[in-house]
Amino acid sequence: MSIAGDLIRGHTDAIILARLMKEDSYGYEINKTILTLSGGRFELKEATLYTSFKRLEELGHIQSYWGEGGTGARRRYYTITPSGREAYYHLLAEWGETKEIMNQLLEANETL
Amino acid sequence: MREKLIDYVNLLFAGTDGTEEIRQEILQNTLDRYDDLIGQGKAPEAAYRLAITGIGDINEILARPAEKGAFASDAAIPAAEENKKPLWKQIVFAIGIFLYIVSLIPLFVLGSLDESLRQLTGGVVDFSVLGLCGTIGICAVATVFVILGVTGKGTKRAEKKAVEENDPKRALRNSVSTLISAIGLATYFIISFTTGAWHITWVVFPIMGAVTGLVNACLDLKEENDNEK
Repeated sequence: MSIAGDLIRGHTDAIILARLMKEDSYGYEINKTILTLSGGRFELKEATLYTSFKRLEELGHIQSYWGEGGTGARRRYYTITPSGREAYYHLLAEWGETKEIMNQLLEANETL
Repeated sequence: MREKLIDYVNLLFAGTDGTEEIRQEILQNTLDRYDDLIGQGKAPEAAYRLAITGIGDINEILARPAEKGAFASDAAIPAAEENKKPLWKQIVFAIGIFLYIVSLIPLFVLGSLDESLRQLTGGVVDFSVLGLCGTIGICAVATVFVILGVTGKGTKRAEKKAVEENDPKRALRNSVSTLISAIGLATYFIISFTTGAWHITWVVFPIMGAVTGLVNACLDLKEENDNEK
């Protein structure tokens, strides 16, 4: 998980944008979803998550607001902006390309 | 155990400025994680440990609010804060300088009015001596203020700097004190021999001390300002 973890962590911003494309969410909920979707193999540290939130907010890709959760606890929710959606599609396309290149590069049987 | 977790997170942010919202958010996320783990049947002790592990390296976040440019290094932030001198120190320092300047007033005023005042009081009190005492006293207080005003991290560094790389400044300081001493000594002898007033001309020496202190303080102030730039 450590090497793959570093690789995935490099895409934290894209992962968060992908989560927010679906619905507004808050820190722990996003992390919980990441854990579930990765089959319990990957999750982010609070510090990493928060740093990414701040960066995306400064870039104008997401916005935050304080909301009351079901338990009455005050949580900071994040919502994606139009520029965030644009950034998401861009990152998704970029990943598609990266994936394709990596597949080619790591393919051992390939004969040129 | 939940209380302990809250204390832990609060402690993480103790002594940091402008991080209240960050603290609230991290605390809420951490509590959510803890409650979730408890809900999954984890023991409080284990849930506490896992929740803390989940926070990660808080410095990753704390480095950001003070960060202006995207590439500002972490080390630059504490250094900038250390360099900033508290306002009260600057004020205390300024008062010290002011006292050095006004310290000469009692000496000159009481010294020049000595004759007339002595007649008024029947010659019991020597006012020139009283004036001198006043001057020395004020100088003493001024010295305390200046020392209070300049000591501290910033100055220690400035002094160290002076020793390490600003030798020209140190040399300037030494030559200025030497110059003042020489002029003072010459003045003392010239005045004493021409007027023959040996009983009072020795005040040149405390005045010399005050002037040296004043000059040093001015140099200190200049150096501080240079360092801030």
